Amino acid sequence: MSAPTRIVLVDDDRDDIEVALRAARREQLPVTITVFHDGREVLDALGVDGNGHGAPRPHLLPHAIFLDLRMPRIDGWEILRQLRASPRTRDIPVIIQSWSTRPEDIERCYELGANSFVAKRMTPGNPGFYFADAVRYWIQLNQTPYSGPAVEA
Amino acid sequence: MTASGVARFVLLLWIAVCAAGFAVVWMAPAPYELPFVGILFAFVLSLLTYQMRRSYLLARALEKGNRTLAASADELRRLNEILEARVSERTRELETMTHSFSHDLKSPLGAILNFSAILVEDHREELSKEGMEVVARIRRSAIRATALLDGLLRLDRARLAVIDEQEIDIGSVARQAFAQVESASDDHGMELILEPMPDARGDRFLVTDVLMNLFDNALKFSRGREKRRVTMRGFREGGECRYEIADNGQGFEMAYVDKLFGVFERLHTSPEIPGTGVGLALVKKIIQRHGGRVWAESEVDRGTRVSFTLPASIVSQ
Repeated sequence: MSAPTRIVLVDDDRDDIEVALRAARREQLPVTITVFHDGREVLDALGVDGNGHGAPRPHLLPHAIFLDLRMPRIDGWEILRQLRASPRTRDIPVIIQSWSTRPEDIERCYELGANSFVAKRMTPGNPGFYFADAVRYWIQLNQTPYSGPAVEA
Repeated sequence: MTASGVARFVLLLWIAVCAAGFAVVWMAPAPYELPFVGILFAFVLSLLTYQMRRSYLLARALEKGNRTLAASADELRRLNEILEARVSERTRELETMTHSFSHDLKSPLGAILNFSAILVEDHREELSKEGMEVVARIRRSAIRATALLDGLLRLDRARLAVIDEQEIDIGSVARQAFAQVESASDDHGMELILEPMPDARGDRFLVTDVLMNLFDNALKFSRGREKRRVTMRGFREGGECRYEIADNGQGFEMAYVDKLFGVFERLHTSPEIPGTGVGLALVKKIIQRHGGRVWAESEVDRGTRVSFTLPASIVSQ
């Protein structure tokens, strides 16, 4: 059995985190989710120091990063900028998740190198489906040069 | 008597004396005529002086008035400019506020919907029938608030959208819009009649949005009636085209026509007719952004006719 797929979820809103984690449990997503509530925490954990360098801790690198935009202190855009500036994290898929669908907000994400922008949304049922669907796509369907051979079960 | 009054008096006296002297020398009146000559001259001269002084004062007052007027006109213009700037700044502020509020409100509303869904899914057994009903009420309200918010955001998008102006075959756009509205509302009971129409210029997507909203209203407000029909006509009028969309639905009282295109204004309160009161506000915003006008006429129980104008095509005549 291979090591579980690791994803990182960065969000300061506990409600949104709860909804996302519940969706992951419910749909039995084959991933380990590490949650960070703060930009500083996640950048430290990934060994990104903001100057394009990073400590060599590859075993901690996740397969995908799910990032909220509006957070106190270091917001999602700044985290994204630093992730893209560091050679260690440059190629990790970053999926922005936000309630805002402001065109200028979305545009800025893509300019900074986001791989995807997912609108958090409310539905009559199935809360958090947007997170589960995005995880499935980015973990099971999306292929990066480093994600190893796509194995058919 | 003021100093200038004294001076004037002295001057007049002097002139009268001089004039009288002159008359005496030149006209050589009889001695008994002399007082009359003097009085006459004095009178005439004082009248003349009085008039001269009056016109001088008047001219001065006029000039001063003109200067003040010019100054106040300048001042007025300046104040007007300040006011204009302030109004547009406030408008921008307000628009930015609406913009961020509508986005920021989505998060707490989303939490209400998400967690009420979780409540029902995970704790159904612990909830009484009445409890479930309460949750349903909460959810209905949250869903409605969400719809209102979406409406605001759509309006906002129409306000900010870059208009990609192109030639529009309005007939084909109308047919597509109608088909989309029909399938979205799953209501195929209305006949669409498209008369030959002149082409317009405008943003294809935004104009499609206008037509979809108008057709949706036609469908909505004729539901349950006989022989439902919506007719679209178009006329070229100089540099613009006027289009009409007329239905034979329930109509509305013309007394409320002013409210029709307002945001969140609804002329119908029956719960069977869905809507947030954003559709026609959106129509108005889009048409205005194309430099056009939109208005409506209606008769209760007979139907409604909405008219709007768009720039005419510059290719086809």
